[in-house]
Amino acid sequence: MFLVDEPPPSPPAPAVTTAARPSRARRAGAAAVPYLYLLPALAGFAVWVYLPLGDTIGYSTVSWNLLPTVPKVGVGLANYHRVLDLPELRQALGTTGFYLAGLVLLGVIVPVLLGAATRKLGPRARAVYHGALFVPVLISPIVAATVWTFLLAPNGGVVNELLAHVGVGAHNWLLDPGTARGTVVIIAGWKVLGASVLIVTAGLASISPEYHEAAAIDGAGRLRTFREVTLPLLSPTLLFLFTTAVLLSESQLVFPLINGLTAGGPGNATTDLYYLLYSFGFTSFDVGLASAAGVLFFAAFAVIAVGCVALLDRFSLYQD
Amino acid sequence: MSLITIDDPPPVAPPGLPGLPGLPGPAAGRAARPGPLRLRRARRPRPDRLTTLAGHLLMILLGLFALVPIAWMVLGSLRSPADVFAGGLPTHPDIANYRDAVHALPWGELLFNTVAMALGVSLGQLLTGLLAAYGFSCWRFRGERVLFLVVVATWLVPLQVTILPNYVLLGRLGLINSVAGLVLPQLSSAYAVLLLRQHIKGFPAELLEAARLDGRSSWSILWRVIVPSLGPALAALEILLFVNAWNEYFWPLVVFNNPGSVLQIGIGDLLSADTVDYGGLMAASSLATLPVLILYLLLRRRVVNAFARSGMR
Amino acid sequence: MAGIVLDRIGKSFGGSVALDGISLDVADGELLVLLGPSGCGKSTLLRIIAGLIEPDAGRVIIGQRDMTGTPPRDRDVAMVFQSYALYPHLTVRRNLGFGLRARRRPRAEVDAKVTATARRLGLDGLLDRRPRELSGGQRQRVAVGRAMVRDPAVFLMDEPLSNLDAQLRTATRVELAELHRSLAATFVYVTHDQVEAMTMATRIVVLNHGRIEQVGTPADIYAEPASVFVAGFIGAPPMNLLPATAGGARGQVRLHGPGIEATLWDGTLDERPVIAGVRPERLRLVSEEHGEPAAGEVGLSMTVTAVENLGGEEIAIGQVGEQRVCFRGERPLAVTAGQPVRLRCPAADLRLFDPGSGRRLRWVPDPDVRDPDVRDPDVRDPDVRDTDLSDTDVPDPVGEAGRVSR
Repeated sequence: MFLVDEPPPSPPAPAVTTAARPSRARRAGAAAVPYLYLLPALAGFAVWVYLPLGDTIGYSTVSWNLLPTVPKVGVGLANYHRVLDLPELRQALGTTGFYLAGLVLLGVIVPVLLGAATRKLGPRARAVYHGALFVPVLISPIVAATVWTFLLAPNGGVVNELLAHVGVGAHNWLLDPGTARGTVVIIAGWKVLGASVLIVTAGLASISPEYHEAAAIDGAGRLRTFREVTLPLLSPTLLFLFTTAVLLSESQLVFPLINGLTAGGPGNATTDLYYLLYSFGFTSFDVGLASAAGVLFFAAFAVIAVGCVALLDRFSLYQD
Repeated sequence: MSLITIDDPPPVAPPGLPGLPGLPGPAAGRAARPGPLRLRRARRPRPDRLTTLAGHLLMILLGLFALVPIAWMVLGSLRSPADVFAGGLPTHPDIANYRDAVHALPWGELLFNTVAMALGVSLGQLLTGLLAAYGFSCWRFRGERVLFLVVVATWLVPLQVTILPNYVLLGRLGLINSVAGLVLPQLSSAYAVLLLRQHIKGFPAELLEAARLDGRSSWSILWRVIVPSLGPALAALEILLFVNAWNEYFWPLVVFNNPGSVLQIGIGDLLSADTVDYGGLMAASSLATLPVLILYLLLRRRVVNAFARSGMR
Repeated sequence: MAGIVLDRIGKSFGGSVALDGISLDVADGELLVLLGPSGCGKSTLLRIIAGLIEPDAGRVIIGQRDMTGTPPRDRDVAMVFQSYALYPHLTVRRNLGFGLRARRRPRAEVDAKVTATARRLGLDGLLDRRPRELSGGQRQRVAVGRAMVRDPAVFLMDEPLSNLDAQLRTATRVELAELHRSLAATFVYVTHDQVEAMTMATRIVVLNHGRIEQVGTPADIYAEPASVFVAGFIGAPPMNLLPATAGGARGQVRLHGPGIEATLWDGTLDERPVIAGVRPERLRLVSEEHGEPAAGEVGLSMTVTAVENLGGEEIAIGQVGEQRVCFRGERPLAVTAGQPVRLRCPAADLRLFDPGSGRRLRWVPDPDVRDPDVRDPDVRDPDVRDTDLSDTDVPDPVGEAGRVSR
């Protein structure tokens, strides 16, 4: 005869008392807390970035000259046509491209090479070099403009004096349309190099040494290791630098440099799109035109920027 | 009869090799050797010294490239107008330029405005950034992603695109030509939000949980638990924001249309004058840069470290 | 396949010495484990063998060629890293083939080897995945595969199991041991886990503070630890170590200390402090009726403080004098916390150590009365320093040879 196990006794139903829930208002208050923390920053952005953006779009369809007493006259898309017909536009476009290329070269590519080159040097020497390179970063763009104007002065500035010793003739670097743009780029590079080298160094330091050890044991030489191991692992830093160079540097760095060094000249040679926008807005008082230009610029810019950000996300590798 | 201490590890030969138990080893403590070794030298490449030297040379050149212009600025400020372009160290250091510079610009007003703006903007950005970073890091809420994008997207809107409406708004608020008009538009900084969010996210969760169990409000946790730990990072960020604001050129250009604005504008005016007094210009530039350089020399490591971290996610 | 000889390797970092005069022979085809606590220098030693670190002194000889100063790529070694170091941006296939591609092997050869290795390790379906898509165990296998595919003379492994969870660790341990057997290659394996060392090693090198404490097979190291450190490191729970005094006139060497009494063997010895060690499984429980320990028996008086249930057996932990001691046996031990108990073990199971240096003490018979048939197999070198603490001028009144301790 088999004995059947009795099923385990079911426990008596517990006496349940529901705990009092906080009132609706209380819960709503608790949920609102994060939004409150975000409020100050977001309010600032809303008022000074996004609302003006909307206003710019609004202004782009009117004709106005900034005086509060003069009415705005709606003109549809006429301003946009005028912008696209501007003779200065094509040149400014080319100059912007030139500056971007220069900024990427001097703000991303060269710092990477320098970061790799200085990795093997002792930490104390490295600290000295990086400390020196960083000083120009702290100088204001305007002071940088004054200093370099002084250095590049055609009749007696140091640069020309030195070149005269070497045998190259003196040159008015900033007033010659052929050399003005290149000079601006080099000065911008001078200002940005130290910061970029620092960021690259930090990025290199964050790569676990085991990857390089593995590559050394696997038999990869220096070049192959750099190309196939170091650079991919550095890619988040690289893309950050690239994005900063493309999105921010021209607006925040090159603009004051142009203003100080050449005021856009000679003959618009150093004017890029940002400077063009500014001179429309502030010197011509043609609000409609400036705003239309601004909107167009912003649209193109946003497309490029979103592309950069998407790249940043896609290629970022997280070492786990 | 004795207890012997064996000083060296008993030399036990690997199994299968000759020279095993029973025979005295060659010397105390050495593992048995498997017979005579034929040793061949393998390759020994040594290119490193040359590359190291080249590296140092390169960095010295770049270091000079970075510092010489600054040095030249200071030297130029100490020369008399006649030989402002002369090479070498000034034979008679002359502070006449500094006197001229002081006369050329309304220094009191410029300095006051610059300091007020730099302090107001940097502290404001730090505060709003801290609060926003706290909100993003420590809560999950509806629209979190969208709002974060809104913050980051401000980098997509260059200042030059929004100047006109901002100018109009400032005019309506009556803030043209005032420091408040400089500070107000700059109180939010996406950079500060991102950097601080990075730091707060890295904060150990257990400390926050312990504080919540203790019954602290979120405000109290922020100021009593997080901020004290974040001290050095906050200080470093504040320095960066201060320097940034000190060097700001664009907003003062927009907000002020009379001469008594900030230092940078003052110097810009000197630079774009019809006749440029280089000596005075260099003196003015040196004076304007001095506070920043002093900050850097005193707090170099903090500043540099804070800056370097911004490249990491 | 190659043997390795390390000749007086020394390395310091900054002011501190990481390795001090390490000399070692690794036989071709053996699985040598470098075992020790963190900071003992085992990972440094491994990296010196690999060529990633250059030693301050000494030579590294691999396959009878002096490789000191040779870069890692020319040493024909492969390494499995603790965190695997899989290139995150490359697929498994390209990770496996990286080393061969770096040496410019033809495409067909690379593909063939990668496929064969992947199949052998069960990575077939994963060849096109990226490391971040793999589980911990899979990543570990890719790391091993990357080493295997190059068919090196020597495999170096730096704590390859430490990042796996416990269950996976046991299974992978077995797999690695089988791999070693099937490849018949030389493995140098670093770990701090003595269970891994005991189960996998052909021989174990126990390192502490940059020095070799002992080299031997797992059995030797377990049964005959050369120092207090080794005794306390190997075994879970480790050997019980008790301070005591050894000595005796009247022809019998005795041991006594707080909670421990023994008549060891015949002989004479001036009283001296020792550390007495005995493995937990060698102690057996005796009832109250037993009297004092007999000659050749060690007696311990212990107060039990806790009993741990391991399923098949129990471990009773308690105090003997001031020392924490434990013994183990089949369930149930029938002891409870708070209970005083008596333990016995044969004197032959005792291991004695010098309290000052920590090194193992061996009882050797007086040279005058050495029994020619009894030879201590451990005393190889007649030049070994002799800390003879007995009075050899006094002839043994009993006239018997001292017994050799085991």
